[in-house]
Amino acid sequence: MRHWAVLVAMVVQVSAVHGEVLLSEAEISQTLSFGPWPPSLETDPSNRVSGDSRAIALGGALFRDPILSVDGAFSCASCHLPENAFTIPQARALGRAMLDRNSPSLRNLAGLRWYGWGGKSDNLWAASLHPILDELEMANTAENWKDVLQGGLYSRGYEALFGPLAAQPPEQVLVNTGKLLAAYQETLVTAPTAFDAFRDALERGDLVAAASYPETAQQGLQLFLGEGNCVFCHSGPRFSNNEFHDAGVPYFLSETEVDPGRFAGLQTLLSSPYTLNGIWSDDSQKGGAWAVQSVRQSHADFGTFRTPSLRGVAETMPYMHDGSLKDLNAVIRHYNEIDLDRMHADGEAVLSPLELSERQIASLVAFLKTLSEIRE
Amino acid sequence: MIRAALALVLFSSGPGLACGLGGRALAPAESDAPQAYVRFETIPLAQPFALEVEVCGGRDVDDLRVDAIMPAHQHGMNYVPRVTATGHDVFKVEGMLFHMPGLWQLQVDVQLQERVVHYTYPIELR
Repeated sequence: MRHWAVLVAMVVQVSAVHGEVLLSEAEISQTLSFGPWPPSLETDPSNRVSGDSRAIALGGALFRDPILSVDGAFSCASCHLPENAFTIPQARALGRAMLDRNSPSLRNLAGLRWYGWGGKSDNLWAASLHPILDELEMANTAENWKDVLQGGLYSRGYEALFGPLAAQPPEQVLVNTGKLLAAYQETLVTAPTAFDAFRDALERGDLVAAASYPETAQQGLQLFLGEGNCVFCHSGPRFSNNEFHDAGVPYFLSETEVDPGRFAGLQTLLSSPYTLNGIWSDDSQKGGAWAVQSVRQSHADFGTFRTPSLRGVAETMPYMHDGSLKDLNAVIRHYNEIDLDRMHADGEAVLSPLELSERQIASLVAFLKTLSEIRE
Repeated sequence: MIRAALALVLFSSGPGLACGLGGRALAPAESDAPQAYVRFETIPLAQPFALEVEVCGGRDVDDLRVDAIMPAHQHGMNYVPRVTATGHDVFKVEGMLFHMPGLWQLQVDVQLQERVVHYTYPIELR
């Protein structure tokens, strides 16, 4: 408490020579909860090759190679472009047909509790298997993939990590391939940004450095923490609680089809052999399995989607699970004028039209942009 | 030392027994309900945590269930916590997770032989 009192007292002095730290004591405390960034990387105990440099290199090569696709049509990088923050600029990706959802960015995925918009996986290697097997994406099978891998370029690298291919059942080869892809994706981490410099300066009490963070962004941060209610879901160093919410975006795919979101994600998860509670996890302690063991199923899951991280958000437009909002300005306007009639009847009562002014919208966008490396 | 002795007297529920030591009193729905206490450390936002519930009065607890809701948001937790008896009328509750900041209401149902007693406790998470 005394520490903050000193900080607040210093604000007046700082503002005389630089910008000003506008945040209250409570807001500073909340701001510190968004870091430090990046988090310390821990290897995934469910993935025996997590953190292994050979696996990372091999996983990266497989990620970029359409060999994973049954007919060589797609690679992971086709829908997760490395030069586009590991997503695509289109609303939805075109696989063998138009897919239902926006391609999520693949950065900052290590250590999450759930993966995918509907959370159908509880670990990164399992999440990496879905596109390989999905008929609308790579449309491969475990049997075909083993045959392709066995005689090809990557067999030596695979065997150096997992042993002789011939002796392994196809499903094991498939899961190990997911673990290679996961090892690579764990390394995709966004760099610290202007926001982190501000947050870290506040933590060490350097208000001179903190005051160089633009006032417009600070005002946006205040809205983010307060009137905008953004922090309800976008919390912690990743700016995501990694849970599922109805954000008021329509979940109708067509006049006759809906995207059930988390509701379907849970059905897939609970019938999957590839969870942290399953036989394919390399963690004998079954760490993290508590979530799949105790997750609650509810009708309110219908049409809810995982809260996306806001790290690097300015680089990942368009937004929302269906990619229906073209830029950050559109996202804020969506929440500003949210149509409560579209909300789930038994969903959360947390959202209501924000009714922010044009200036406030601009401030919030300015703040969000400081979560990316992009400079104006 | 004096403080420790005082606490022992305050929370004592029977001859020589201290119940609820270091805990926070749960609010019962009925005035004649036995006292019950919850113990927890700093609760992390959107991360799993554990707590402990103790029911006083020397009554045998047949079952104990714990849940939590956010009254203002009209939703509860996304996980079903696991309850394990760790001693006589002392229960460890694991797998709690508050995924949003704000006011949560802890809800505890204690099954005694003849009835179920409902308790609540407010927790503000920032």
